[in-house]
Amino acid sequence: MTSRPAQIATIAGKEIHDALRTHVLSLLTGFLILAAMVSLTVSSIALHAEYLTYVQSRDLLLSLGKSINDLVPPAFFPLKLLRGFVEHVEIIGAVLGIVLGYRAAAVERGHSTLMLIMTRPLGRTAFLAGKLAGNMVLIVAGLAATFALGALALFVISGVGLGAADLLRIAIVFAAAILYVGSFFLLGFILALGFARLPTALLVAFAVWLTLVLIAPQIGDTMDPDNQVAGGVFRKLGIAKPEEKEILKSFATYETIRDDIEQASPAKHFERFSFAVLGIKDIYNGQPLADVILDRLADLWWLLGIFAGLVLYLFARPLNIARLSKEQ
Amino acid sequence: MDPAIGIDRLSKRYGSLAALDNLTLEIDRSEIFGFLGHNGAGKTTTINILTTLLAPTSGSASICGCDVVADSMKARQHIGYVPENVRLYDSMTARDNLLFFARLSGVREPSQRIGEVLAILDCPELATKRVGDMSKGQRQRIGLAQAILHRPDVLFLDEPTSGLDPLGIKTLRDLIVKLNRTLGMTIFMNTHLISEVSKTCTSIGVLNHGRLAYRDTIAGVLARFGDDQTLEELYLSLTPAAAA
Amino acid sequence: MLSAMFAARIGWRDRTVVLLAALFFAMVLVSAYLGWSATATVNAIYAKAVPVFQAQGKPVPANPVGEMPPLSLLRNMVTYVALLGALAALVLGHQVVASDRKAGVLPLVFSRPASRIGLALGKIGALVLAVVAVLLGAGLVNVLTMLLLPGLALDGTIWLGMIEFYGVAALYMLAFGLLGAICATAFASESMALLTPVTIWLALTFIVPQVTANIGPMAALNPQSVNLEVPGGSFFAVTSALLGPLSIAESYRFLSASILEVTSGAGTTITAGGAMLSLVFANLALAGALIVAIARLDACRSGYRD
Repeated sequence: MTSRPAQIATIAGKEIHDALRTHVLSLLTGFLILAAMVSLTVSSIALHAEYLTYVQSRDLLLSLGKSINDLVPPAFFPLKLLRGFVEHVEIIGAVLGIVLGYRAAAVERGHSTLMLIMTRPLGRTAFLAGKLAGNMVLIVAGLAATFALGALALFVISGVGLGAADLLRIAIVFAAAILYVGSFFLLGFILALGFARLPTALLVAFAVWLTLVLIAPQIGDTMDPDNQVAGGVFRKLGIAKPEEKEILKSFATYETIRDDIEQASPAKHFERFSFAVLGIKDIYNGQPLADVILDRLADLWWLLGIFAGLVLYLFARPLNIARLSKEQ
Repeated sequence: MDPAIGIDRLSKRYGSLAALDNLTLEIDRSEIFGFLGHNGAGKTTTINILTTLLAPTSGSASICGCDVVADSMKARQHIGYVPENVRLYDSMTARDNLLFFARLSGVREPSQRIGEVLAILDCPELATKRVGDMSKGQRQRIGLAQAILHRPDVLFLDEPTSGLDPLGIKTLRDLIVKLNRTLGMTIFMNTHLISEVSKTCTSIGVLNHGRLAYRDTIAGVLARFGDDQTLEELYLSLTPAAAA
Repeated sequence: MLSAMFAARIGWRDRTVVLLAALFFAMVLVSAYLGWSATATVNAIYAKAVPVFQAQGKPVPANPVGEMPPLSLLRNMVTYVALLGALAALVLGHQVVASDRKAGVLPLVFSRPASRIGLALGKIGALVLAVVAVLLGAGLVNVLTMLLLPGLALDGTIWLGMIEFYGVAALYMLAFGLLGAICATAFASESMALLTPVTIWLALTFIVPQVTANIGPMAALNPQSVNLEVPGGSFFAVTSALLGPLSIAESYRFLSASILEVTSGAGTTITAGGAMLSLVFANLALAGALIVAIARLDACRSGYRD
């Protein structure tokens, strides 16, 4: 009888082999890399355009013999260019996770392979562990390629060498991205194993993706009364800060609901954490890494909690092999 | 010595529907057992329980003395299984598919064993062919190869000739007999084709609405009733609802 | 016509399509609630602020709610049509063709004395019917919400604005429905037939706006982003000139945000005529492509490989 680690490795190896052979994975990873590169290039071109405008204004002022003291030169923080990059990982990375999860279950469903695997001396846990391990390797590899190319492009585009501290910040966001994309893999996998019909599972996964990644943050945004009136409701009414705080006290429940809806989105946690670590959010720009991470530790716990919770659920729920093996 | 397959008062219920009702059966080693029955009689449910894929509602079953529920991992070491319309990983070659299953079963020197098995099944040329590009008959052979890689004592075949052409059926029939005679494997075969049973099996059982309606050796059947035609009549008389 | 009715019935029976349509309706309700709740909150804030002004002896300003254009209550619909509406249309378009391919009925249909162009037109008709039905339902919910809001009279301008908005939404959704149907016809593998249009949708929604106007992926969802100023320099001038006409997500967002008076559209170079032309042209081109794809479908190998 073969050992359990060897069985897990066999399943993981098959999973990697199989995924590399299909175009689905390469299409999506390539798309993520393309989106990330486009975003980096465009951000830097926009920054360059901003800089040129500054130079023109400066030259004009100087030629007119005026002072340039009031003209603020555009600030340049290379890591800030990664804003769109992070958002693409947030949107497309999640799709990559869902598709991998769906594929991992779909290749076995409706085929006799799941039956054959489960008649081998191999536990359900080893089977699921092999699937999880193989796909996490694929996710790590895909994200590693995206982040490595991102860091390289940042260096080439900005012309500024990234220091060890910058690379460490990128590596930390990479680690958070693994948890984030991994959670969507688990979502796709669990749904594709659980639903009676595979297409329904894929659509439910996409609906969850839409809701968590795109709609929940937007709902929170819309519910902010300050976003309802151009320039903000309090400024429009000419209400000073102390009175604003006093008035908002009676809307505490509404604000809590609004915040909870935003908290429900793993995308928001990934985004908040990454924007803080990379200094994209201004209040964290230039802050020591340890302080930033401590301040955003809750987001990291959320990401870890969601991933761990889904792993536990995957292993805890029973598999109906006979039903899963039927043609859907 | 424990029988190859022991089934004791086995039942499987889905809500109010009894898919299998108090089935008791014993199959000796080296038999080729043909399990006849109409569609929905409970044949596949029986195989699913015996191959440890499905838990029974009540009763017990064992393979070479290993209980399929309490001792399922040990039971699995004794069995090989070819489901109906077997489909392996289409994008992989036969060798890669077989390597995968050999490793899961802990087969020593898997590459060498795959060569041996393909030789036994007279199809070494299929090793490098993608399963997705194979004919139904070729896929059936690779399915069979997968099932015997780890030298099981009992081989389960669910409707093995389903969808095959006459030549494919004949070839498969010969292979089943070869596996039984040369390797001593016990074979448990679900089918609803009476001609299959009379040409391949050493004993039969007839299942009707989840209950065992008849059990005998082929020699016994022939001694009592004569040729194929009467076997068909016997089957129809045992399963009147299905015949209607 | 017969084939359109039949295809529409298949769509209705398909649980996947019904599920997405249900989700879309749920979001229409959420959107209606959000519009109502946010307005009610601003109202409540104003009510709390009035005594503060009075205590300070300051003049009480006008209620900002009165200044909000009534149609801007529907602003979330712009996003939901772009996300759920487009995705639901895409799946619907896929199912309209894929259900026939998977059922294996195409060889039977193709062996009847009916033209393939007729079949393709039937599929397009079914898509139009389904999109219109979904949007009529959504419109009804919106009208009911507006009727429930006190102090809001549904005058002719509002009715016209809603009809215009839903017309634009229908054109946008139909384009993705057609794209889904084309891929469902042209691809040999069903997973690729689903993933390719989803990828195109992702690219149009999140990547192209960044290339043409430096609008980030998340900002691209917000109808307010139409107001963002396009950075100067030749790069964006070239990309917006080249890709602008193809960027139907931006055309849709611009048109719908303008109709609902969410934005002034100050920063953009898009014009209403240009945006409309790009949406109409996209639909005509995609409908043409679907007819060609159905005409070229191999009748003997009409099923999917996976």
